[in-house]
Amino acid sequence: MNSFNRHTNILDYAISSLLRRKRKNIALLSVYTIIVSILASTIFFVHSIKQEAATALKEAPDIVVQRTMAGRHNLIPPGYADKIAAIRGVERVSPRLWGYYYDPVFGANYTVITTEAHPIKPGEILIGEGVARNQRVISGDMLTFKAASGQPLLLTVSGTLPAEAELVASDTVIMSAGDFTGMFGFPSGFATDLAVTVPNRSEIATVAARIFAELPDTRPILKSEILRTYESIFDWRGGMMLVILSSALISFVIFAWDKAAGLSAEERREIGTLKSVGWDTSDILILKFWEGIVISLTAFLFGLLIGYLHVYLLNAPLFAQALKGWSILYPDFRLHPSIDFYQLSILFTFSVIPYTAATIIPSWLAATTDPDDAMRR
Amino acid sequence: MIELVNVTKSYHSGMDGSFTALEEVSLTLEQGKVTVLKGPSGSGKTTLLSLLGCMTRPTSGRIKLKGMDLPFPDPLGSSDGLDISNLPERFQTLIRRKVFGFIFQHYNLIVGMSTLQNVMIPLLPAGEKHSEIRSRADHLLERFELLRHAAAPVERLSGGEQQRVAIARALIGDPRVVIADEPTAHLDSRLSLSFMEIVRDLRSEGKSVIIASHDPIIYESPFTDRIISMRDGRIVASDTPR
Repeated sequence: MNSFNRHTNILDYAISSLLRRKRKNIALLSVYTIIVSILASTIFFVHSIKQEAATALKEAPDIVVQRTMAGRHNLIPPGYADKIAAIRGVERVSPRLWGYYYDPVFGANYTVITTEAHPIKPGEILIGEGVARNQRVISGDMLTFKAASGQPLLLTVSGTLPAEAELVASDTVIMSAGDFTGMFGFPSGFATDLAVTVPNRSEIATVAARIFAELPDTRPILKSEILRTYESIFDWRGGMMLVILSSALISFVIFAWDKAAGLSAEERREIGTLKSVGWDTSDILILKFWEGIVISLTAFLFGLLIGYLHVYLLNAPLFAQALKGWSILYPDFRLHPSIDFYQLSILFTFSVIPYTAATIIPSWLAATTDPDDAMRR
Repeated sequence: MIELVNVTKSYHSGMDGSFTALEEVSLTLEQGKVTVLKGPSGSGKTTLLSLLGCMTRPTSGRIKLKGMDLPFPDPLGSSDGLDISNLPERFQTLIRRKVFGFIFQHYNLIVGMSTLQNVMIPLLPAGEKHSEIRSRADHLLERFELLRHAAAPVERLSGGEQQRVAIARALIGDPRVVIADEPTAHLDSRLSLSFMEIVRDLRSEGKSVIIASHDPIIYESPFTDRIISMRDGRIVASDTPR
């Protein structure tokens, strides 16, 4: 109880002490909070966007088989699907048709696919939200594409893709296989790649190895690899943001060190006075510890709150485009709150502890001197 | 009783600018008396007060507290009093907090803090409940007619009021000995006399008061029991006025 009273009394004094230098401490707290909020925003954003990608890719095929020639992607000829379907453990093999279409008028790249999940009538298309925004079209409108033959191809928008798929399907155009082959002049019977379903997850790697052994010119890509690629991309973007921010962080550390560590003559006198009236070195250190904690923890919590609101309420307007980056078709979707406590604990460690240490160390140096000085002023 | 035996204090020993502020001082100060250390600047008064109050350690010699209630048992269990000249820091801190109360020449109040907070400061790390410390501080502020200034920042008070705050702060730990360094240096005669009345009250409560001063109002006061004259770090005379 004595120790509790000692800490609460010193904390009370620490708060009064901070309030005495309101202007200096509010300035410090503001800069500190802004830095933490930007870092927290980045962490919240990257973590959530990875979660979104994982959710969207949940329905992705277990294995995608591509064919390569001279290290480049090549079309899958007829017959490959049957060979793969015969491998033990494979439930289904679906040939897929997809490609990219560049729209010179709007300067945007679309991903054009055909899919069994969304049966499309010839002459109709389903489009992602990004395409709809980019072309300013809604259901019922018509879109003109330029076919490989040079002829225009008019297709009717029958609907837009659900918002949950926004992150990975923002730039998608889904059309019938007939329209697809017609538009791109795609050879009949060929596929862009094959979607392979393997019900037993533990067999996926074995099946992939078998596919590669039987069809050496193919490249089986596992769903986990796709997910990992997405994660790497967002991690890389987040990391790039953090590298840019690190200069701000370093500036802040220098600023905080200067403010916190540079004990003024007044502060040194105060330490001398406290010692002379019955405080010992550990009491001074507790005082400075609480002063540091009050500033850094307040900044951390406020920064976290601002970061959370910035990402999940305002949809991260400050840097979303740098982090989402989808050609010119930026996905527009509301992120679902998802918190990575491990990364937050790292942020806590790197924001609260250095500042608190920066306040304690010089005070410790001042506090270990004799209080005799106080008598001589 | 406080006993000093052959106490010497040197600063910056063995370095350029070293000097001896106090040399071979032996002295006994009785409990419940008002003692004035008198002498010109540089005579060693403040150094002697610092040593008595456990603010610094002597270079040589011993300082002993005898027959006093101590805030901790004597670690050496000596029957000849507690030698405070070389105690570890935490024991010295306890002695500063519980045995001595200090009134500094410039008061050394914490600017920006309220009068009440300033008075409470010495006991904040003592582990007592905040409400208990506050109640004691309120009592002292009432005694020194400062209650109406309790919430005011201490720098807004007049010189005399600031000194009373410093006295209240010195008394909050209910010390046995009150040490004052040139307490009337910044006061006019009326306030200096009023300070000596407070000293009289402290003496009547059984507290020892040790004052360093060259102000005649202090050393000619009827409440002064003993005058110790100092010069060049040595005691040159010790008088008992009555």
